[in-house]
Amino acid sequence: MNRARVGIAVVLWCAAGNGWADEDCFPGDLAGAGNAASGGASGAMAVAAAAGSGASASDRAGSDAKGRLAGTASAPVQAGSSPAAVAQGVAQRGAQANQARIHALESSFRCVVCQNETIADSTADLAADLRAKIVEQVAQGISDEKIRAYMVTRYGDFILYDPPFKPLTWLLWLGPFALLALGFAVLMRIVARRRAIPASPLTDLQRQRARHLLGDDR
Amino acid sequence: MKRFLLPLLVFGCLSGVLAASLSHDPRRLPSALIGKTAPPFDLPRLDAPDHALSPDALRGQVWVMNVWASWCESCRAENSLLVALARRNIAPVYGLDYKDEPDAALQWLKQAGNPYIASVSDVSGAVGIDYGVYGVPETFVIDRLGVVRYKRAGPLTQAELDTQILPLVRRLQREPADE
Repeated sequence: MNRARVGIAVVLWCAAGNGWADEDCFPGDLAGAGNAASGGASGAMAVAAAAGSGASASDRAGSDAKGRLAGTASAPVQAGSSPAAVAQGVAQRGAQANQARIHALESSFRCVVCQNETIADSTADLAADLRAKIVEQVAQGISDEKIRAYMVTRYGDFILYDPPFKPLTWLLWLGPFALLALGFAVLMRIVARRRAIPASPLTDLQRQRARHLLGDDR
Repeated sequence: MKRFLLPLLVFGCLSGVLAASLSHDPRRLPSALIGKTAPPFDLPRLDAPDHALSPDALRGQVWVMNVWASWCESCRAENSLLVALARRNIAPVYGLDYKDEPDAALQWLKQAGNPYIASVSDVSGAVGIDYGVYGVPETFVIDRLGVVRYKRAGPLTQAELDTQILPLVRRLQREPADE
């Protein structure tokens, strides 16, 4: 019991010393002033770019309609079956799909400045820049794998929240299972050793004491 | 006595691992760029915006690229080291002025001292992303073939300069300039 408590204390102390508890960004410069502004701007940019890219497929249909509408001075945009409205609906659905894709991508990358935060969550300047890069690439129709490769060639596997299975990460992926197997092996050995010990019959004195303890005094 | 040996051993191993990770800085990441060709760029020079500079122009020599900015406090701390390095004429030091106002950057250089043969101005930070910059200042050593051989995020120290960067630069300078 005591040993476990000491162990937990040691781990907690090391965790605190190791810097998990402090929330400074390294080296404190990248997360400087203007974070909030750039974060907000990039968010807005995300929406704009996503809408733009979603619209691109249906732009041609839409612009035809716009051309016709432009001729008549103040033609109201009709709801329902007008081509412009249909195009708008398609664009909106496309934008929503892109938005979800962008968010999934942003959440799969670690912010290398404020580690333990995703690029989606981080307010660091660099995270805002990387969000803008993701938006830009999604708008260009670049695949998720290519965007992931883009990040990894620049920042390494560390930027992935889901690290790949390769020799360098074998310990990371297999370590817990190896420890579990080790624990199980130790348990089996202890059980086997206990079984090997023959049960010794109780002495009369022990029997008497047991009866006394059980309140069975006869 | 023997029954205490195993727990003691386990405790020793655990303490060793934990003690080692105390001195290990989790924020210092290995660069994905080491051993790869330095990403190309074509950026205006800070002192002469009409002139561009690209890594291709520096082929054939071992050079040091330092990422800095006028808003970066730790850059000021390492600046004197870089100035001293530049004075010794061992390897040319070039600067990448990262996400900075050119005017503020020029002012900063005038005040702090300019160790750079030239700095290029990466106002948008796009080149910084290509170089995997995540914490200014950062320092790269690039060999004669244009391959990144060393990268360090965070301010340089004299010890690091003497024990790692300078020996590496000297070794790279002895390497042939073509394959």
